Amino acid sequence: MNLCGNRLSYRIDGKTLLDDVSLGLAPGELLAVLGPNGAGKTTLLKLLCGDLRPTSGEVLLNRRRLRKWSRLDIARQRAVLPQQSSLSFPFDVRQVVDMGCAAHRRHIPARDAEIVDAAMRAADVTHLAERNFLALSGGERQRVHLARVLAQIWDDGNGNPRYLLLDEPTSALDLAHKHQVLAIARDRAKSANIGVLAILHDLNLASVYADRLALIQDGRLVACGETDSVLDATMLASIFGVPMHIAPHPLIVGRKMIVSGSVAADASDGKPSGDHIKEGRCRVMA
Amino acid sequence: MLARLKPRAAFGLFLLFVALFMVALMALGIGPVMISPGQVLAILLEPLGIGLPWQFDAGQAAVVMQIRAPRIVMAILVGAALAVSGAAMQGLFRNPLADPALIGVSAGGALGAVSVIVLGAGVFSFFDPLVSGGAVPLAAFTGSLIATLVVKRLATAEGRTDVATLLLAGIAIQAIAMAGTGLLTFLADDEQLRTLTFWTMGSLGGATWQSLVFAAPLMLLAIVAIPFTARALNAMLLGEAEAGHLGFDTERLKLILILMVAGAVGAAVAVSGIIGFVGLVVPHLLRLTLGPDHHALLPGSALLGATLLLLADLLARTVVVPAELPIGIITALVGGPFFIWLLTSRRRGMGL
Repeated sequence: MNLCGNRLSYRIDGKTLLDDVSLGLAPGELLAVLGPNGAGKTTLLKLLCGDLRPTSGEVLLNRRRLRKWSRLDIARQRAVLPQQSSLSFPFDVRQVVDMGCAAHRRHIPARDAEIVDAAMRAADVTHLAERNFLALSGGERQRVHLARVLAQIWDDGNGNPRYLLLDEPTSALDLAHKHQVLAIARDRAKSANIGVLAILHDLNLASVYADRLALIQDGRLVACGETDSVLDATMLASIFGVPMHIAPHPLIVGRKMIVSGSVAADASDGKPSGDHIKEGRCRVMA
Repeated sequence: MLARLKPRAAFGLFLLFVALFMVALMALGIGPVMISPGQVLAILLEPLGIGLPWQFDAGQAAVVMQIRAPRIVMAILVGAALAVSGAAMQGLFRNPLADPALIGVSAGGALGAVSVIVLGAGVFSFFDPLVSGGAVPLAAFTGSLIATLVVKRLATAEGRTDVATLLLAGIAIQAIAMAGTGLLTFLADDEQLRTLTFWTMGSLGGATWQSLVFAAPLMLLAIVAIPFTARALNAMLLGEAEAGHLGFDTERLKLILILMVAGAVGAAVAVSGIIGFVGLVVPHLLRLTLGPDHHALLPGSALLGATLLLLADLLARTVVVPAELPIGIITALVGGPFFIWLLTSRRRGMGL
């Protein structure tokens, strides 16, 4: 049982956005998808969740073709958190999270309320429950949406494994919130046996939180496997076009830490400059 | 559906219902023949075999049941249909400034009606006289439906309706229909001009039980059915893709809503002409007090739309007795400045 793309290709207007990618997401794991801008990460996610139809290849959700499931059955087994949500109406936080319960058609408001409470606790937004969504900060909003998608797949989908697809869930967040969101996603993956796929930009976050990594470049799957085995300085450098340096993580045994940018060149003149260097240092401190 | 309401919203809906009931009783009693609310209640309940202590005569009963009741029922249905349609369109377009007119329904209706008024004598004369009496409403309804279907068709590609294109196509069709209406107005003679001017300014003066038979079912359908789409409309506010991820069939939702709105607003335009601002202002006003949740917003809009149109019609038929003011003038005159006030005083945090 998994969520699995078989030899997925997607072409539009003569351009190939995704080329023969096969990728499986197993329940209970956190799989991070990494790659430069325009590599096809979001296209892959849209194919996996059914927003786009593959030009060739197929998506299987728990051994059955995605199109063979009903809309409601799909929504009970997988939730999707997009990069940004456009909600611009002043709902209460609780009402936003409750939207996640819609596909279950429980007609038992008390059960929905229990799930909303639990999802809000998991995403650490319980204290915001009665607040106006529009009055929240970016980090709070993202956690509210996270609570919404957690609520959507809180109950197991008729006994089937569940999946959570996150499209750059941390891109708009500050460091503390980046860690918080990924920690929540990983906790939920382990405690409820949910398969989580997250598109990430930060190699160090991926290294710390992901069980497996998939690297995508120019629409192709370049590497996919256990996090540590995939983190190779030479390959990362060729994919991202920046020199990479990998060292053991100072705090977490068995994890790696990645520094990007030409550290040697800057060290020689003693004046660190350039944004990618600063970014690299931040990551070291994180 | 109602189980999801917050206590505050449920209380708001209850107040709105009471207000509608009181205003309806008052409106049934006010006019050239004044009848007290108690007498009105007694007249209404007498056919059910319930006797009340208030005395009334047969003349008063006839005024209430034959003259005023159809008009009051019409005002309630038209007001509720316009407001609930406005709320649904605002949700569908994710824009609090949307209006049923945006999908071409009003302009199409106007073109249909004006065609019959101006060309009627020549083109439609071969119709049975019975039909020709209802030709203006029928043409208005047909025009509404055709315009909406064209707009929907223009915005649909490969089975998907794009909401932004829908809005732009609506503006284009509206412009074309208004050009047609303008041309016909130019061709019209003096008497026709007077008729079509009154029609485009709206009036409930033509309400009879007979005219209701045709229009009421379409308006009732929208008033009753649209509130059941509340959860889907809430999800639509997150974005169309997200509503789909949550399990909603967004294509079917759009089709159902557009057809129901076209039917209801087409029917409303057919029997009462063009009445502006109800569909725009009422949902807006409710969002400020009850919040954006469609579970409260949709039934609330129906109740408040009905109440406000009843009040507007009461003004229309009492301020210049024995003449009548077109009701569209009143709704625009009150609604316009009120809307400006809303925009300026509540701009912060309302997601405008």
